[in-house]
Amino acid sequence: MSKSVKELEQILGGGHVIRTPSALSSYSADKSCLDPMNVPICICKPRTVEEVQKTVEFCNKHKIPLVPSSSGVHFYGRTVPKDGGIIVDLSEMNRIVKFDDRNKNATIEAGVTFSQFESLKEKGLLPLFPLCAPERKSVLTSYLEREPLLVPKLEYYEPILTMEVVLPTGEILRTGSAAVKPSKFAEYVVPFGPGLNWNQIFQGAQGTLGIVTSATVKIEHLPKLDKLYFLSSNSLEELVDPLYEIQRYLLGYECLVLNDLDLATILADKKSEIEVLRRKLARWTLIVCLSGGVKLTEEKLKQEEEDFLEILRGFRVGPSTKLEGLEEKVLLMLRQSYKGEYWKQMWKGDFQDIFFVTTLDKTPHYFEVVEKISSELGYPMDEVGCYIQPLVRGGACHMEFTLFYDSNNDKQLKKIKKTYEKLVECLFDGGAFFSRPYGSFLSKMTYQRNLAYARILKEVKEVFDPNNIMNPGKLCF
Amino acid sequence: MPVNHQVIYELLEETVGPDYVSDDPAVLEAYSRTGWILGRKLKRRPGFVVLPSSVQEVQAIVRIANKNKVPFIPVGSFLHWSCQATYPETIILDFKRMDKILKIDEKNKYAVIEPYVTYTQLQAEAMKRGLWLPVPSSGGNTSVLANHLFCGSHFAMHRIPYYARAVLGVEWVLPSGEILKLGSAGYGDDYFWGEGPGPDLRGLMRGYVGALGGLGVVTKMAVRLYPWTGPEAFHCRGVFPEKVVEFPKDLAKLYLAIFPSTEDAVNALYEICRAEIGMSLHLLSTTMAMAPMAKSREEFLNLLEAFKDIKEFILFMSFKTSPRVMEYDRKVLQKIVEENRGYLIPDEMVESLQEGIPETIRSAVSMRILNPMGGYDVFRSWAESLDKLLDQLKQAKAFLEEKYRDFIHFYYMIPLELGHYGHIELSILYDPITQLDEAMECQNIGIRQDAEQKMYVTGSAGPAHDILGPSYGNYQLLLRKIKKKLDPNNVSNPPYPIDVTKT
Amino acid sequence: MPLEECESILELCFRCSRCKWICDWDVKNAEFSYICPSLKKFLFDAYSAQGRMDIARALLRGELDYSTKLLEIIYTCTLCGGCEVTCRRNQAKMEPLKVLQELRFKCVSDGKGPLEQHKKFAENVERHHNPYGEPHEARFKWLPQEGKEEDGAEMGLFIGCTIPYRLPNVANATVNILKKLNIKFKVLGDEEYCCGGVLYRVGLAHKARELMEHNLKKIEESGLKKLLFVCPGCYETFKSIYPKLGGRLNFEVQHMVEFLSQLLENKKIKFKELSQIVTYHDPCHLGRLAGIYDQPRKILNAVPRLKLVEMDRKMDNSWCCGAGAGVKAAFNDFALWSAKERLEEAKTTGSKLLLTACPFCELNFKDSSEPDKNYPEVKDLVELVDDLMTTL
Repeated sequence: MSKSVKELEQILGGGHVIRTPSALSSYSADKSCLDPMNVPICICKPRTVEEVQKTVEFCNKHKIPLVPSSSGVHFYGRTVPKDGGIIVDLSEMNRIVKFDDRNKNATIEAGVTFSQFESLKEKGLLPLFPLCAPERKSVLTSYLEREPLLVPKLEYYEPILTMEVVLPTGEILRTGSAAVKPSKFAEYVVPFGPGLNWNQIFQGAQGTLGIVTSATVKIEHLPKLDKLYFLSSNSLEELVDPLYEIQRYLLGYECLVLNDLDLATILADKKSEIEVLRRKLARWTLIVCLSGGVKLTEEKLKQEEEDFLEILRGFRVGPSTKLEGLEEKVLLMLRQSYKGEYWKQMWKGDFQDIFFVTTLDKTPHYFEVVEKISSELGYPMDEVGCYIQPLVRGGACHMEFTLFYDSNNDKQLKKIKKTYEKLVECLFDGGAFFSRPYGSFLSKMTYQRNLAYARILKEVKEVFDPNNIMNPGKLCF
Repeated sequence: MPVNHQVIYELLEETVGPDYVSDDPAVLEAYSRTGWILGRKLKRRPGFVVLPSSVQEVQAIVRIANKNKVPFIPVGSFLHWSCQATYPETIILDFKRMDKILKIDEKNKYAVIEPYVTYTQLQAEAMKRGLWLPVPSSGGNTSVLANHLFCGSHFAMHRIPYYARAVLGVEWVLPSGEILKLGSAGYGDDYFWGEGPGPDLRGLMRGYVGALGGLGVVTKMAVRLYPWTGPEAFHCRGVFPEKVVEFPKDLAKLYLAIFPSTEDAVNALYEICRAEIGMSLHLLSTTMAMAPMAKSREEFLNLLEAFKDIKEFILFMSFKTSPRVMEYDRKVLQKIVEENRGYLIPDEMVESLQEGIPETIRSAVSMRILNPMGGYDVFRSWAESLDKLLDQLKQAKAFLEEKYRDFIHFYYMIPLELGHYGHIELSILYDPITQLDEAMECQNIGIRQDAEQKMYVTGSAGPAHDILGPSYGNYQLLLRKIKKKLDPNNVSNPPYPIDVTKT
Repeated sequence: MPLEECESILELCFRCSRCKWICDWDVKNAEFSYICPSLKKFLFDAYSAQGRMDIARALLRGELDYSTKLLEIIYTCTLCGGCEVTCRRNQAKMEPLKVLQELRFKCVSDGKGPLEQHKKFAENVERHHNPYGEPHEARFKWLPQEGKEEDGAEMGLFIGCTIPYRLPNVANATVNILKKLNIKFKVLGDEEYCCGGVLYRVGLAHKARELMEHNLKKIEESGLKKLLFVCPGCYETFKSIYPKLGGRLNFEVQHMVEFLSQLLENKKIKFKELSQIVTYHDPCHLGRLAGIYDQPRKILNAVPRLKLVEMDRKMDNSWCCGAGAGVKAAFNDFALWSAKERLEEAKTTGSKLLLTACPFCELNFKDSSEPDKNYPEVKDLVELVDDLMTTL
């Protein structure tokens, strides 16, 4: 092994192969409680795509597993090296290579964080955000992992246009029209092809099929005028139909639903504020941001607002522009990364997420399922956060439950694991679709119930990664 | 292993019943040709045509093909030349017995369909439920499923995605005969979501265009539908050619704008996309607009002469997605056109244009471009940023004007996904009796120019992958590996998506 | 134009599949969107206009031989014209119906057609001047002697073959109407032979020409200025086919439905009320092939309290009953199937009465009706008018 490390040091330079115990430890586990720890051999930090290629070629030659990591933030066990090997940390490849106002895109390297990316707002541009993305989180990781975005009115919904991927063999694949690079007839913005839709295959792959070193991603224009509306209710069911209507009429920009715990925790500046805020809020809040766009902004906002209020007439829950004086904070929440310690860690220190895709009309049912199981297992429901993100004009939604706990408390830790597994199983049996299966438990369940999918994934894996070096042990590999 | 035709016939007959399989030459003749240049040139009768009625029958047929090493091709309405058999004894799977709309989910806006459901059928049923989907350029009589797998280029791509994005859960019979279900379909009867789990294998079904039946048979698919604020059905008066549709005037409106230069027009396109207005947006050459209106070549030429000072124009459709949006659209459009030195043609001058709206929505006007000459095909077709598409267009048009002056050419440029990128087709009209060979030569040159000049082609398929691949990072090598993995016996419509007999 | 000269038409086919479906604007229910009965029944594309055009092309190029299947494909087409309506929206120069007809002429001239059943009724026409083989002298049995000729009558009634031999009630209703209106008419009597339309349509153009020559001669000799028809098949034959065969019509031709509609417009007739839901089937030879759509509707809408509920496939989208162009004789099961499809569609309107203006449609609907299916009753429009009409 030390021979391998030396060779890697020759490829990358001494300072870019790290073996300190603290660094190794930091990659051996993450905030998820799902899987056991495993220590990598070393952490490599390439700075260019050529260095990435050489590193990969090296690992391929010597059949050393490698785990790509771009983010400084890990919650789901994705980058824990299940079978050992090295970490390829792309955080030093962090340039915003260019942004293009006219064509609404930016080309970014894998290590670009949301904190960096939101600087585009100063140029009148709006990056596409998931909810409260940690500031140190890699944008590309978030998009590749299909984290839901806050703006469901954009039907196309996938933010990645083209990518540059270092395959497990060390070759480069450029997706979409980046395939013709370099070309005077291209700006590398077409997401499909060539041949097959490689973009889709690499998404959700948890780094098992290749290393994405850079991508051109969509950005939008920052609306010049915004107005937030809130629909508050103690019943989730009451918000479902209004949500469908809002999406049906293509109104609003950002749109999401949070329960009181999640919303209070996000907006609180410190732990002690959470309960205070929580008491002010209804159990559920639907947040819609109406925007004036970029042209005739006041007229646009007026049109949106009048339409919005008209279509919601007749529902029991009425919209309000007020939310206990928290309106400005909410807008910031929607349009920037989350600064400092991640909000989910504020309350108890740790958390376990359970998320899946479903349809809006089923969300009350799933909430009841979680309520019932949690109660049976003695996990208090008022310690469960809930976030619902409509997708693609309300055609589906991402539903996310967060179980907060203190990992230093062994009893809580055991309970969390048990609760998590039971909830996942019941939700799975109830039709929740886990499109992003993290951790061994969920992956196993997912692929055992769809053997054909697993088999074809393995065939695809064999094509890309015949030596199975890329993040082995994840998904069904 | 030599192919025993009779044995295969009997196996197919056993699978579907005697009424639903044929190897009669008269029956096969109707599956031998299409209207494209390549389709006319590559005429060949298949070995069998079979009409399965269930996914189990499809599996059985696929297994018969594998066991006997004969190719099979799943077809929709058989519009595209890739439906034509390349090899003898090919089994065509015609899905007329699998033509059900299985479900329309009004709230969550999707439909689950079998392969032979047409766009017109689905749109008509969806409209009754406050939903719709745009009909693509291939026309309302094409298969929704097949078109979503193959192309899915429609007039509203400015806002509603190109259908590569609109596929949800899928039931897919692989070339081996195994069933693969994608997305939520893999876990029950709900087809509402197509991604995953994990890597999205919908990426294997198609690229910019599809695998052309080369990676198995999709037997069920969920497709997105979109909110429809219009009437439940079209109400028509009269008969053709005087038939009119009574269409609510406040539901949609078409606008035309002309500009002093193509660059000004493209700038306007960008601004319209930035403002996120409208349902449909095109930059059309005047030839493209006139072709569907003319009933003969003479009439067409007269129209071109009458409009000779206008090379192209922007066609914009505003649609009532919410109660007051159309008024806003109009104001912003007016402003943008003026800011870009253009002229928005007054409503009263384009009154008759509004009659084209129901036609556009229900039939997609584009097949009527056959009227003037009878023959039509795409010379070049690309996707890229709008600016780069313009550069490509200039180059290609200059070539046509120099080398193939006898062809009338036309183009349309359409921004996709609110201007994040765009698509352009430069096409030719030709006489299929006297100009077929020349048209073919022109097309062959086109694909080679795309490779040499590294322009990103949208319609690459079959042999084109090997022509373009070396200029496109050699993706064809990966594609070939995938094909070999999924179709080890090479029976699923060879040589699509790529010829595995080449190394 | 012989098939050999149709190459330019054949090359125009882009295989867009419009010929298989009704006009897309008119589709309201997926269930009622097909236009081509033979395609819907037999399912292989060969049974559509597109398929038959492919076959025509292959025959011309010597790429296909005649066979039983080939002849079946050609002769299961009812020449209803549905394909032509929708095809020409994309390709104004297309004439699929011409190709389909020319295919039959080619079959006959190549000695391969028509089918045996067609030859049988051609023989009947030769011997008995009607395709049913019924006695010629019984053609006007339904009409009392004094009704056969009226002094000074300038208008003739051409009764055709199906009505007198199979639906004499329609003939009686027609004459009743004329008598109520004191309109003088005469019939050709023994000199009326089969119009020849069905022979033409199966490819026996020369036999049709013989009949045409006879009929036109007798009409000329009679001095009639106008000929009234109740059968759209005969009407369309005189109007469209005779000129193609070189015949010259020195008299006006009118279908009974046009005639009645004119009377209504001129306020010569009105109707008693009938509180019922009805639907109307557009016969192909009256609608698509002769352009008469509005007149039957004007008549029905003039009946007080009558509610006309249209089927999805109406007017130029009308679904063919399945009987025409020799199909009933050679492929009766298919003809009955097509009729049942239409009856099922009629049922969805909630009507208890299906009206039409074609005896061949009426016959085929009645032949296919099943008591336990609750299909609407089938009646000719002329009979309804006879029941309800009063003069002004």
